[in-house]
Amino acid sequence: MNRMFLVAKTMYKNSGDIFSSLTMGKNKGKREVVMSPSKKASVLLLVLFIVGSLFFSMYTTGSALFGLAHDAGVMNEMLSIFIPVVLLMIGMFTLTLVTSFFFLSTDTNVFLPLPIKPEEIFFGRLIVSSINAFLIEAVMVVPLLVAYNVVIGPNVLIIFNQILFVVALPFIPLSITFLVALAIGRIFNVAKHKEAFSIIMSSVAILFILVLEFGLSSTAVETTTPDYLVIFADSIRGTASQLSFLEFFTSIPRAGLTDTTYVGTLNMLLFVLISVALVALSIVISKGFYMKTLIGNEDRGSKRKKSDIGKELSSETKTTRPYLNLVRSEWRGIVRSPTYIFNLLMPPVLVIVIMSFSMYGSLSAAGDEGTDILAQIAPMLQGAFSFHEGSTTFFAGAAVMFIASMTMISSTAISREGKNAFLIKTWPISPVIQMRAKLTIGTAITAVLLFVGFVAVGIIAQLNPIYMLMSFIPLIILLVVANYAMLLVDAAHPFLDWENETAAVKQNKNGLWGMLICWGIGIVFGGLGFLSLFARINAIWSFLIVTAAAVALLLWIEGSIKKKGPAVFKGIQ
Amino acid sequence: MIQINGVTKNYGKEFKAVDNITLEIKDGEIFGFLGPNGAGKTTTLKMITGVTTLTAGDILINGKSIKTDDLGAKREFGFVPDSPDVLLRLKGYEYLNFIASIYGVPTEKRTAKIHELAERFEMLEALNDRLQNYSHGMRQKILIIGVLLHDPAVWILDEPLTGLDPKSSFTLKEMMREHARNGKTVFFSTHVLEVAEKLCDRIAIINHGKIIFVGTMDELKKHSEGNQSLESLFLELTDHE
Repeated sequence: MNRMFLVAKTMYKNSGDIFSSLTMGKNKGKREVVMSPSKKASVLLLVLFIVGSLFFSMYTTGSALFGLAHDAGVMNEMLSIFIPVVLLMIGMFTLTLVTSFFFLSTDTNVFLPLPIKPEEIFFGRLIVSSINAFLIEAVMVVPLLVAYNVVIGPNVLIIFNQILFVVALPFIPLSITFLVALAIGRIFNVAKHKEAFSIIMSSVAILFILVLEFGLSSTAVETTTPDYLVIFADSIRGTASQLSFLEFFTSIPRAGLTDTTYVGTLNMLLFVLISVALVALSIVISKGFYMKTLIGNEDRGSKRKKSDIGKELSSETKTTRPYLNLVRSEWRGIVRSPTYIFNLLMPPVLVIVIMSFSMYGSLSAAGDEGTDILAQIAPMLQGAFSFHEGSTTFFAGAAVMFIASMTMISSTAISREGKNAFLIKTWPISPVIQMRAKLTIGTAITAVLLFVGFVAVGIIAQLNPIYMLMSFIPLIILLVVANYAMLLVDAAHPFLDWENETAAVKQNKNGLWGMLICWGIGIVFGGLGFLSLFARINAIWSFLIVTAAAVALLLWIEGSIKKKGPAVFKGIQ
Repeated sequence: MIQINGVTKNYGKEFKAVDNITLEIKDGEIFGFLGPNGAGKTTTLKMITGVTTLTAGDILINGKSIKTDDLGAKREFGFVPDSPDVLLRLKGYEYLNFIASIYGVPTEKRTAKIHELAERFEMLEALNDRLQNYSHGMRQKILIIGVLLHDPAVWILDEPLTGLDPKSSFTLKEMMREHARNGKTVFFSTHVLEVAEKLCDRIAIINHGKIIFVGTMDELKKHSEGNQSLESLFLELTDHE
């Protein structure tokens, strides 16, 4: 047993445990040191603020939903939705955890030659994954349960049942995703096709998100009553009835969350038993297959792809400009890494897909009312996006900053180079060109997102094309400025000493700083928007002001990079 | 030619990683740079290649200062780092084309040159694979090909023979000799004294950030007492400093 925990502890430490990564810094000699108490306090305060905000937003959402469900008398139906939704939510994260810890972990080759039993490796991975799953649960599920408790006023047994629920919950999606991943891993060579495996698992996670989003948004019901409680109750009943095929399972934990007698506790113990049974099943199956998936696959050889190098080369050498080659290499670095695809490219793409699904789901569920809703929205948008209204450009500027903060492509561009990032300093290419190449991908991706949003608003509201073009130009320049700001943060203090690509983005504080900077600029633009409401300036003036500010910022940034020269990469040693 | 003039590198107020070193590596010379771990070898290489700034002094590569004309100086050399884990997501030929573009190798020349060098290092078959699938030695070779591709006057190599198979190691050594015979410069760091003995025209030994010896192997041997081996001589020099 002790060995099992030793293995788990080692795996956890090696995976870069979140607590030490938040309190460790690097000194000038690049040695890892414990942060000074003041620095540690400020980092912890910041983390506390972010976690607190997440917790609070989940709590307020839960409070509103459970409050309404209570008033509308549909608490049971609400719980029938709540249970599969939290399972799906945790399942989305456990997919990533299982993929990276059980199958793609770089330390597997360290443990395989050691005299450790397969189940000890399995348990080690399970404990590390569970710790992470519990952390996610703490900010996503616990606040919802707190909100539920505030609404229903539970007795001691219900709280005890909830503790059992929280403890047992992650093991169900963990076991199921492990078994699914194991099955996929048995079909093809995981060791050799790590990227393909990762992409398949990421796609399953995205499918989870879409199912969740579409399922929840398409359950609006047609109603003629103006009573919002009745509408809400109908909507909840509709969703619950769609999920009735899960009733055989959801009824068990639901009883534990509602029944104030020992029957509720017995039900919750049954839920725990299901969780334990799934873990046991995973252990039994892992004994036979898990290690084979990791080891045996190495033996299956594959032929090296024969290709015409001359042809490949001549097509490759068509692009000779250093800038274009830098951009191309940057792009290839991202799209050839499932980790980067999932962490850098997916967030903005998912926003578009989820928003589209959600809108489509809501409008199609509303039937003819959907067309009416659009007809009502259009004049409002026309009013806001017109030459008479100057504040919209400032608010759009704030929105652009929010869009820019959605991806960490620019805020980790230098960090992603890793330990050999210093090589970029040996290239005879001016730092300005290198910086421009580094921010191109981040800017382009967010520009696509902005463009899609812009076109959608333009079509719905049938906006003036000249207005759209005039407002798009300053916003694009603002996007470049935002990406420059994030890139400069990363260039000043890049996180280069990472073990794997996941750590390069997820343990990189620059991503957080970049996001906060964008939000900060966004708040300034929001403030200017409110001021312009009072000043009553028209859109031409606001275009000019925003364009002038964006161009001035851009020139200032490029000017200081030129002035600094190679010192702009001072953080890379 | 590399001229290192009174170069110092301080980390913080206290620690001098490199302390006022002066060296001149001439054209047509293979120059070995030796020293124990933490002696200042890597810091010196980083200063020569523009990775780290200089606290004092200057470094000229073919007359171009790394301080005042860094891009000009960088066009004069090709650098192979000790760890070859670079741009691992790129395929071999993509990496080489990328480097060729960075150093402005003409299109018509680069395809033929890539072919020639890849064949010489037995890497032609592997050019269509990603660098992440290469062994350490193969990554080392692709980096070396990248340097040879733009044919710089000065080669700066950090532990270039580590991980190379005997044939590639022999090929590289031959190319280093050929490069020097053509009147160009090779500056490389190594831990292997035998390599330095067989390959270098001159060597420098650095310890605690100071140059403690510059000269030919024969001159180094003159320091020895009787039949002392090169290894014990090196240990004696570096320990006694």
